[in-house]
Amino acid sequence: MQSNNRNLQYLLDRRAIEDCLNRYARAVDRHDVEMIHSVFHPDAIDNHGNFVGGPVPFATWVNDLHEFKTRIHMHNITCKSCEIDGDTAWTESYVAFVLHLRTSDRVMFGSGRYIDRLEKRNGVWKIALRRTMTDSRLEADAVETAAKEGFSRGTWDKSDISYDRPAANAEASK
Amino acid sequence: MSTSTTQAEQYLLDRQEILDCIYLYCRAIDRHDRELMATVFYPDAIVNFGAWEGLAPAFFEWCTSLFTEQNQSHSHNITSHNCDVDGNIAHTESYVIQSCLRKDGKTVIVSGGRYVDRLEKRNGTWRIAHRRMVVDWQYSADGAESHSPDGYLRGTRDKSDTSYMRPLKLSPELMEKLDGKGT
Repeated sequence: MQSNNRNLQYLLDRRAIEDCLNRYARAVDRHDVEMIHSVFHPDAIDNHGNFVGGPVPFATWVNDLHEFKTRIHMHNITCKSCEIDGDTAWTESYVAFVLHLRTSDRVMFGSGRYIDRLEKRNGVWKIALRRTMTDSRLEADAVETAAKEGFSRGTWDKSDISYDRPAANAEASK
Repeated sequence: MSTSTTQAEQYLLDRQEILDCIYLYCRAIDRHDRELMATVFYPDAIVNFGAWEGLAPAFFEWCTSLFTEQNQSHSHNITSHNCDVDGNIAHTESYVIQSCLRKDGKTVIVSGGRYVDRLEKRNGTWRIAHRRMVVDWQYSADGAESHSPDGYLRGTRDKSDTSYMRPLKLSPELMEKLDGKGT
């Protein structure tokens, strides 16, 4: 969406940038390859710990990591800051992540940040460069108590209920 | 809304109102505020919450009495939020981290889930028409030493909570300590 009004365009840009950063969390948590690709420009570089590379190898790397090394993972995007300079934006997004490794009885809570350069190309904001940081991690004894009360659990594919359009009604969800 | 509202303005207003609605749910449930909750859901909204399923007003009664029975305090934090607006319907996914301090004062249950919602704009107002809750993880932890007040305010589950105070003021004791400069 575009506007000739400068203030309005600024708000639209901020909204689109924030949506892109949030969509990343959704994409990796659902192992959604297409959606992971969609948050990066094709020539983007992601540097994630020891991994550095483009969106296609990144998607494979991150999905394999989550699929084979963890039982549970969740990426919570919290504080965001953003400076826009024309068609370039510099952002920092805090992430509170939860990882339960397959090899451990302990769950890891971590706090990190995504440091990004986004670019607006053909009217669309996407990540052009991402560097990631981990500021703290802690491990806690994991006494898992979920799924005892009839809650649905997320899945790592498009059968997850968040993909339902329209949301299935109560009857259909049984 | 004035007729001069552009499509872009309307889109931004819609997005903000939708996000506000998701946030207000947390405030309403954490403060057990029935009136506020009535502005979050339509009365005919269907809520699926684990084994519980029913209409929004009944959900509020069920959920707040369960929370009162199980917990000393609880807080719901919205994090990653995704939203598709399609005319007067919006599909959203909002991550939530919930922590509950159990009645024993030392067990903290931390869980992560997602609210998967369909909101509808009726008569110009966005509210939740259908909510499904996903719980992706839930852990129990020892919270015995981590909620010491140290002078911090404690929340309440009614309108005596500081967040309702208009205008916001310091306590009389603190104002005295500051020699009246805190007004």
